[in-house]
Amino acid sequence: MSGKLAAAPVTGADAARARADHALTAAPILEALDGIILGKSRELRLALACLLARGHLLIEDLPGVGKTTLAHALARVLGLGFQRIQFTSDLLPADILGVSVYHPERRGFEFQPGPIFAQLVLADEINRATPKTQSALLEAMEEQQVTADGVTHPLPEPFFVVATRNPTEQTGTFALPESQLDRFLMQIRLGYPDPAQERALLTGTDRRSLINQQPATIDPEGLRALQQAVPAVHVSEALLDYLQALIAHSRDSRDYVAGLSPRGGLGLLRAAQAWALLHGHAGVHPDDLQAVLPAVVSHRLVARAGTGEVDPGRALIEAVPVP
Amino acid sequence: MSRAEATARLGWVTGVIAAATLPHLGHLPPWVPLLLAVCVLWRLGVATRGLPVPPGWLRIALAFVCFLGVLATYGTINGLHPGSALLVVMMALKLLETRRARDLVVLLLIAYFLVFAGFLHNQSLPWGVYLLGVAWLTTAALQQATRTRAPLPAGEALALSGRLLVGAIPVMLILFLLFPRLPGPLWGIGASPGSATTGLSEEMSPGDITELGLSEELAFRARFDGTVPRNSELYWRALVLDEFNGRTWRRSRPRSQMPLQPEQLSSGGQAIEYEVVIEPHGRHWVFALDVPVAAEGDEVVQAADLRLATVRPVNERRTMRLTSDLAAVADLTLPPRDQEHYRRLPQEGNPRSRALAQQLRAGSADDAGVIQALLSRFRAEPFYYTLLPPPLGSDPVDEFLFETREGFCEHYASAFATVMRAAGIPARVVLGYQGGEFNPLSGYHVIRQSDAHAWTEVWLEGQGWIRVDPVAAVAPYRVSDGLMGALRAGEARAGRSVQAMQWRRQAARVWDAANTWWNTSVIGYDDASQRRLLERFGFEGEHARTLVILLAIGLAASLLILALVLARGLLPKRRDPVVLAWQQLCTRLARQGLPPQPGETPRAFAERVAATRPELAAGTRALAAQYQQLRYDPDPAPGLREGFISAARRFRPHRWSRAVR
Repeated sequence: MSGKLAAAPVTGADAARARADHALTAAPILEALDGIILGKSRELRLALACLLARGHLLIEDLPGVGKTTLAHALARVLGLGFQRIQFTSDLLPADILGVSVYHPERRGFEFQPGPIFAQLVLADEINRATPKTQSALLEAMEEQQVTADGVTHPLPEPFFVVATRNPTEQTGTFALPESQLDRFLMQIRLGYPDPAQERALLTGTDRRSLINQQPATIDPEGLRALQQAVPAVHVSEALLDYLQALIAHSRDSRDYVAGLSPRGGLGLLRAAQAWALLHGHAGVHPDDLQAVLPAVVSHRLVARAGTGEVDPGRALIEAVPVP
Repeated sequence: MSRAEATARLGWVTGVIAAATLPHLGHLPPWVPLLLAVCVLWRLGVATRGLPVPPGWLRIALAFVCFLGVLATYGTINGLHPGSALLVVMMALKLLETRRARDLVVLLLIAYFLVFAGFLHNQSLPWGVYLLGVAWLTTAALQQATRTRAPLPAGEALALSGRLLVGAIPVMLILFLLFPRLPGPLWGIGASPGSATTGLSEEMSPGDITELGLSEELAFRARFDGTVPRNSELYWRALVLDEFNGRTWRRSRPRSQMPLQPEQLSSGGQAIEYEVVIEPHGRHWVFALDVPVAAEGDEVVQAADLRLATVRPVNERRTMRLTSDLAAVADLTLPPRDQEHYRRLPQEGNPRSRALAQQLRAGSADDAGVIQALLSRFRAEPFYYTLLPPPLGSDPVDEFLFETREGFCEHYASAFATVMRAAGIPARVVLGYQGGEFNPLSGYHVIRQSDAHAWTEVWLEGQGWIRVDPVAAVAPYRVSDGLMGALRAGEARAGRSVQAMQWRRQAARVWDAANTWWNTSVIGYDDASQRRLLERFGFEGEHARTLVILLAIGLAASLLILALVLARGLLPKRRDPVVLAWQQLCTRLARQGLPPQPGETPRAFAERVAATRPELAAGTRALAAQYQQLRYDPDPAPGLREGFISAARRFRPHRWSRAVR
């Protein structure tokens, strides 16, 4: 059964050694991130798991809680090329994807890649842009490539988008439709720091200079190896039963407007595998699944009006017994 | 519900309506199916072309008019035919006002009703299969109409409802076998007396049986308990004709209604017990092997002329157990008055036959000699057996005997009996069936209308009534091989290869065996068969009480089994001893007031236990970690499994707590 999920057949001893290696590789990354962003250890792990699972991350929170810092820190720690795109209402798709420019001396058009051609793209305040521009970004995310004037330009590898959005109560925003939200593997909130961390933040070194001093803790090869190890993490029948029970409940329950999509279910499994990898588990445990579940489903499940408006991920976990 | 889905549901329901109405088409006045067709088309037009729905007052008026129409057609609304007409009319009008799923359900319930009513019209095996199919289709449509999600593809819908019906089979069998049966035939409700009168008639004139000669229609079936008589001995007696007017043989009323006196019969020692299953013919006749001596039950009586008769006309298929004695002798002595009756001929007519009789009488020593002389004459002269005899005039016996010499069994029997009477020998004509085809698949002899036959009986002093079949002298194959044997080979098998005939014959046997089973075991399962079945399993005593108890037990048991089968799919598989050990551990903790919460992983549960009961922390944490490792990790370490199971079983939270206290 696990053979279907494993990338390559490995013996038990090899697998155990590889597992330990992966956990060891991941440890300094997390340590470095924890040093820059204080008191957000869980969110940082989720962000890293999201990246390892080859998903994209959406951060929904108020301005100034450290969304940009988190994206920037991730790029530095992982040694990724970083680009930041500030979304505004007058931003055009070409501003993101790039544009073909006429070169008189060469007598021809040449594609000028846009800011999306980076390994880690921070799409800041994505809900300020018009739906047309939003969908240009999301299509590029989905297809891992940009097509301009009939020529296809592949995006760099790895390619990781961290999008931030302001809560939609704020004026001058365009809400992302559910179909677009489904393309983000996770959505997390950062929230305000607790008093002790707040004090450390106020008195400590400027975060920006900390980030600039931070060396990369992993090389591109190492990062690719980690990403490839994610789908190989063992998934038992019992865990698949649990996952399917969760998905089925989200579809059958009257608490949600719509259930989890198959893409959502697969994303949940990959995220849980990445989480298990980060924590050195040989197989995915229900704890791993539960750890990533709220972040994976929070933008996918919409609670039906009048059901108490609780966190849909928490409610789902509490509704389905662990087999 | 989208428009397309609503149309799909409507399509299912109209299909069911058509299928359920089909068995009634032959019984309905033409305006009823016409109304139904108009309503169906109108409703489909509403769904697809945007036709207006007829207003409420029009629908009410239509309903009233149709009700009066049914009343005018039948003069009543009671009974099977007006009832089913009313059902179809109601269904047609209800269709016009269907809007919600509930309306469709009402229509489908009417369709179920029509299926039942279809059984009342006709209980044959093919209709049974067809109506079962309609019930299946109706169930599928019901399932589609009440489905909250989009309708299933047709194949899946039929598969789902098929599974439902299969699940209902145990309950169906129990109800069929054990539900109290009415002593009379419930199915007989619809049959009107005299509606089935094919077969023999109460009198015989030249040309009557010819019509039956080619009819393959079933007359009755018979099954012998012990030895089966040879085909040439299978003379099935139905009625006896004792009055002749020169052309037609009839039954004299008063004489034939006299009951048989016991001293009339003397046993021959060749008793044969058998069962006959008679198809409805609307008369009182019973087809019994010559000579019938006893009948089971008080439904059948025997008349002085030896024939059996039922008290009620046979309007539904009826099974009877009879006993016959092939060698029994009847009326060893016949009163002179009766002898005179059986010698009576009309004053005039058929003079040449009378002359022949005197001539034979003069040339023979005794009555037996006269009989032999006439039979020899049939054999010696060019008499032919044919299904297409030339028409006969005013003196049919003379014309047959001396001119045409071509005829069917009735010609021979009539001529023979006439000459015997003219020669002063008491004689009568017996109508019935001869032979029958044995079906080895069902064990029954099948006797068709084409086996209808007429023969004669003569009375001889000291010997009683003796059967004489003049046809046996002319066409012996008619008696040993049946009608087809008597006809020339080319006539019957023209253009057909022998093999094709055999195939056809085999298929006909299988079909006949299936029908026999259906008629005797399913349709014929009545109060008496129910008692026999229960007695075979040792249930004796009060019948009704036994039935009710068995019915209750049977239904409860089958529903319980069904529930268990269904529940098995819902319950998680608990066979893994690891899971079992963990669940038992959780149960023990739950008894200590620490039940696992829904959605709590084993590790989280262990942490919670550790927080409230620190003395259990080490044990539960280790066990939870092992359990998760066994359940979710690849290739657990050898021995971990056994170690966990025994440790989990040994884990006792209460002993620890007591020790702490």
